[in-house]
Amino acid sequence: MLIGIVNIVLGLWLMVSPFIFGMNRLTSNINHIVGPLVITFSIISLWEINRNAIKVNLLLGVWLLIALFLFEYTKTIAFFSNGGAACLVIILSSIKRKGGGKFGGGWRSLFQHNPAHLREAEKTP
Amino acid sequence: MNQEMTIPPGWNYNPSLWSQRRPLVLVGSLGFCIAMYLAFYQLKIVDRVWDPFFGDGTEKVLTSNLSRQFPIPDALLGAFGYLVDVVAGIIGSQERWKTKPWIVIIFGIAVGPLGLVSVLLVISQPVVVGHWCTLCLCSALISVIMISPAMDEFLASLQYLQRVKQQKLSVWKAFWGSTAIRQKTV
Repeated sequence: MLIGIVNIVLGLWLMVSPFIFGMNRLTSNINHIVGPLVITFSIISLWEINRNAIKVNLLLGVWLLIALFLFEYTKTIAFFSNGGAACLVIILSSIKRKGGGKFGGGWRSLFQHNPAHLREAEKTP
Repeated sequence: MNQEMTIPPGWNYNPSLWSQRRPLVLVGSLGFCIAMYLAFYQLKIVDRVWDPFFGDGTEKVLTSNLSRQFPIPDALLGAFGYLVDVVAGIIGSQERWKTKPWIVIIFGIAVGPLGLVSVLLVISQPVVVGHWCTLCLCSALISVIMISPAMDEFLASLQYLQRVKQQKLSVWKAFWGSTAIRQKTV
């Protein structure tokens, strides 16, 4: 839960930082695209059934890091702000989370031949 | 009703319980009200639209070229989406993941992909239109919050249809809630 909330805050930071630092249009657009996506997948992952949705943020964080070297960040502080946010998103999204919920094998079960929900159903008289 | 019997196999709760669906219906209703308010401005029923943070940003977003890409105002489409969410959230009993998979699937499709579309609209505000709209952000937040709580029931119905298929029974009939198939499949 906490990881998801910190990710949401990071996404919000990405959205507002172009206003704070006066970033150019191109780099602002990067933040305005990645920020809402980070927030979206963080919120989706707050529920245990979709907790793996946070892995999408891992890719978004990697893209933010790559973008630092692909595009010109005219303000040094904006460069370090995005770099720091990207590193935090990557680290937090990589942490494995355990949960007590049972979902019949989860989404993966839909692609399995003998999923957990089917085995459970066979036990039912 | 025996609560144990309504829990999908391999689960530890029933995703179709009213306690699971009621918050979604309430939040969806709030989203509907917000979208209708924005649609009223686009339809010129109200002259001004409230925005506590971005001044006339909401008006610029609602009158942008992007908002006129559809034959009807985009906020009205959003309101229709929320209405589908609310109606699909209400229909059916507390074991509808099995008795009415069709409505659960419609609910999942209405909430999931449409929620992601609303995020694309949020991205388009600063990137394409160049302005922000507070109530549009609230509406998008509501759409995103609804995704995961709706997806558990969606998954339970898909797993039920998967079990029907594994038993070589008609998935089509099970989708429409066939009682005969339900009696043969847990």
